Amino acid sequence: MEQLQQKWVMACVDGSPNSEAVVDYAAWIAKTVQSPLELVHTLEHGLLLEHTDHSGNLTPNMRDDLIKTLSEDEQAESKKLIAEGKVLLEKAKVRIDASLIPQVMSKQRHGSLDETLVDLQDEIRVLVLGLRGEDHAEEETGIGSQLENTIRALHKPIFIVNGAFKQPQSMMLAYNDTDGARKALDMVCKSPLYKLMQVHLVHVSENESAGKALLLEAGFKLQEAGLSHQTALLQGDAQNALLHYQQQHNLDMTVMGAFSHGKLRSLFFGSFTLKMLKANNKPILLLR
Amino acid sequence: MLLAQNKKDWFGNIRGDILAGIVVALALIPEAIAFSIIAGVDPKVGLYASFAIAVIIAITGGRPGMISAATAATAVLMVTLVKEHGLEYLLAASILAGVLQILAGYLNLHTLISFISRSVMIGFLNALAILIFIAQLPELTNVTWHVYALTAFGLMIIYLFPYVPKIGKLIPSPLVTILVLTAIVLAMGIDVRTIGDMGALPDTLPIFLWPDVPLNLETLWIILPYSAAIAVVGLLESLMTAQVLDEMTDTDSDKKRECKGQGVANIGSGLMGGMAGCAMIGQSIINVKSGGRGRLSTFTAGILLLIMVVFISDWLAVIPMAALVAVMIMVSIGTFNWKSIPEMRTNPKSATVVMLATVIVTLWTHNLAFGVLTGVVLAALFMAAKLQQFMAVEKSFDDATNTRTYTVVGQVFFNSTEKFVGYFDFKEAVDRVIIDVHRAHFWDISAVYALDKVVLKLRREGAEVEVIGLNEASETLVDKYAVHNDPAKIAKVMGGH
Repeated sequence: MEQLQQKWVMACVDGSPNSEAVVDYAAWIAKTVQSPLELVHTLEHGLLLEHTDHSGNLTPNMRDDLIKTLSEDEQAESKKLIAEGKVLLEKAKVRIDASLIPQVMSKQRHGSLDETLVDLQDEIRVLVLGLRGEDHAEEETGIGSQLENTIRALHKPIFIVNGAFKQPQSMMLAYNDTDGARKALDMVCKSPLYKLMQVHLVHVSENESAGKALLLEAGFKLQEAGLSHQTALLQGDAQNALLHYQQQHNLDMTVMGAFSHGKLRSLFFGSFTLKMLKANNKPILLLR
Repeated sequence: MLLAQNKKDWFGNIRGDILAGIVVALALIPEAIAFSIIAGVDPKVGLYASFAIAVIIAITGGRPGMISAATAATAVLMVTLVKEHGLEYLLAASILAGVLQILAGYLNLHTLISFISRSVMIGFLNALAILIFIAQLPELTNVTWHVYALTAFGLMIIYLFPYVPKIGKLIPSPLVTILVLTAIVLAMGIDVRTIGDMGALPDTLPIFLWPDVPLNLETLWIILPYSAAIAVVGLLESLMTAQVLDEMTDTDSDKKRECKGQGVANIGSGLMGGMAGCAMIGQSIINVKSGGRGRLSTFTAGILLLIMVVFISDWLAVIPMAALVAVMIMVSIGTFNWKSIPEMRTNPKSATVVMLATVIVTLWTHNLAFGVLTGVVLAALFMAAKLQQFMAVEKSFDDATNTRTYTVVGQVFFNSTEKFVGYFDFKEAVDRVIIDVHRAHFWDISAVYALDKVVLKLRREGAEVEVIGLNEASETLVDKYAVHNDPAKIAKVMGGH
């Protein structure tokens, strides 16, 4: 069933500052990997508290009256949200040069972003979203905790944007000795996305000989795939080392696998991703 | 995922939930007292129950924003148990009812709610409303005119106070009624019955205690029938209320979790000296109207109820019963589906019969479970009778071969087999009979047996009989179809209709 379905580069569009960059990056991915692009806007409903009253009594037929009032409120809200979303989606479509992308579609769905992602799971090839959504602009954690959990459950590549679009010329591939990292490497080798990029294959380890061997093996694979690359073996705290390296070489994006065990696992979505995104506003692609 | 959803259920609407919780707590107090009186126990039993159930269901329930507490539907089931065996047996019965409900949850019995048609549900609510009203009658018979005047005045406040500008929609009108009526009675020194006359009120926080009953089979046989009835009725009202809230707030609920949650709540209630309860449709609607949407609203209502009750129990005692009766008449009026009366003229007769049967059997037995069972059985019979009409047999005759062809179209099942057999002319002497059933559906073995009978009979009259399309017709015979939700397969089985 899954094979039959069209796979889309999916861009989550909302009214947040990152929204334009999300669309640009998504369009770039769609163009480079020649995949159809879908712009998704979610309609998050409020709790319909407009007609709240605390009179606390039960009047005849209150059940029906209340359902009627609440449905009318919701209808008005839905219409408003749909209209607002249409404007956003139109704006996004204008930004895209559709002639270079196989197909561009826009879609609106009711429900929160995490519900939507679960529903549309099978259509996603790559998910592109902004670090902070419209409603979470003030949150320190960046990605809403709800979304974070959804993303954890979603077994799709996720491209997180936090800053204006710049066509990536270089990228850092964080690598270690895990299945998740190896899978990520495979995906990088197979994808046309990185053909024009300089790949920086980076590994953090105290054990120099083992680290070098690991990098050599992985570098060979990249070479086989025809990707221009260089390797680096870093020492010290993984988090800081990677961050420092990325800044030092001013790399345009970071690619990481879903590390199934080890130290990096906890860094996968938590502080590290966030630190990286904030430090230089360069996107991160999480592969699984 | 689960944690995130939990957080949203609890803290997605803090202000709205707390305010609504206050309104609900105020309305729960008179109801809890009234339902204790129905069951024949001290008011404190209902108050402890309402606290325990509301707080526990806030955590364990499957429908955020739904209010559960001591209810009329379960209270009416307890009357004889309390009368014959006393409070301790009621507490034990509450715990057992909870165990049965948890079991029902694990057995997925919540799916049976789909058998309850709209007419049965309306009958359930109407019967419940009438039960609540009837329960108020003892307070309104053999009393002085003061009580009537106070009750009428109370109802007036309940319905008119919300129209007062500004404060009308801020202060719950049932609370205003209680305050005003109590003030009048105290100020004028009118001698009427008060809540204090109805039995003990809570003076301490509830304590965990195992009910003081002998743990043996004899006890089990005493309480089991009551527990079973409480468990069934409690789940019925809870699941129906959950459906109403689902519809109202356009959100989903976890019915299986609700069943188990109700069970846990009832066990907790029994252990804290409370009676069994369930979801309350009226209170749940009040909660939604007051802006309550999350678990916090139910939780707040339970906690506040306990705080208020324990600290103002001296004041509760002086509230006149007339105020309580006025509130309960409001609950009764609000629970009744008034539209169902004019609808009797426009709805199909079968719908009205099902609704009325549910009401009448409930009022007769004082057990909503029997009412619902009657309604469900009647509705199923009406459905069978209706489907029976969807069957016809066309006849044609071919003179050249002296062949009679019967073409059967439609639904053949236990209720339509007699009609099916009736279509065949057994007196006709022909060489060949063809029975074409490929556009018919044989739903059960009665249908197959009827066809066998027809074939046999025609053969006895000397005809060569041939049945065509039996495979297609009997695809509907098996109990479980492998069609699931595949439209193509369903179209194949149901083809041609």
